[in-house]
Amino acid sequence: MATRPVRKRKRVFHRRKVCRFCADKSMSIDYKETRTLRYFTTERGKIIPRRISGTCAKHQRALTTAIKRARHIALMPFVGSVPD
Amino acid sequence: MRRYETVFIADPDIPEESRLALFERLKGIIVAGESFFVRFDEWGVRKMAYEIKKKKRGFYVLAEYVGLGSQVQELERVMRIDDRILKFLTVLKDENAIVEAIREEMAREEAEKEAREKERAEAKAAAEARKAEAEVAAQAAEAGKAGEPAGLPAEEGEDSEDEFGDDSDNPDDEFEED
Repeated sequence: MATRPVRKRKRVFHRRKVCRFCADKSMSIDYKETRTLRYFTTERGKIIPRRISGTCAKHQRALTTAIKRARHIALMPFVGSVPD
Repeated sequence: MRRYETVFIADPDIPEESRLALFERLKGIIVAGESFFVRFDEWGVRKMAYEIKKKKRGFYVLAEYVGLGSQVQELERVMRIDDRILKFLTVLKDENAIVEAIREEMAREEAEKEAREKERAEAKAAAEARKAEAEVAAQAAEAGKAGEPAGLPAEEGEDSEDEFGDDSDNPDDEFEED
């Protein structure tokens, strides 16, 4: 393996990641509530991985199906517009 | 009995009566035997996230009902054939729906809705009364030329309620993209 130029701009974020849905029980995952779902997608419409959002496995699973359902019924985009 | 939820998008450009006829037809499929509707919410014309059949907007309807799988099949078959339906999505909400519990829930919701409407009507009436009062005062002031400006009538229209209300505790955004 050739060593790549050291350009790793390591962002050091010390943020404790907690599952938003576990922390706030009143939050529900529903494919009709696009407002909630939108926080878990990028501007392009991709689902944000658990590794980044910190959502627990159970809720991430629910979230994924919800987002996919919302996409199917055109409440959310499959591909969003390119930000800038 | 199973509880289902179907969201479908109807063509927004068809005439009202055509749409109503279509809805009646769809309702007819579900209302049979012991099956019944829990709700039939018309969300109205909304912008869709992407174009379907070259249309940017769609007439959304949320139908929740208790029925059998065969009815869902029939409903979906009809929707697939009818080109006034752009798209639909059916979700199974409860495999063993207890009819009594749902009826109870419906009754409760109905009562709540009525209470809300009553409240709103009262608020409206109060607002109107205030407005009328202010008008009378204004007229009196005008007539008497007292030079005392009458307070503006507090305008209070029907506050349109947002379907998806509440929860937007701002997510001080946690996501970083590479």
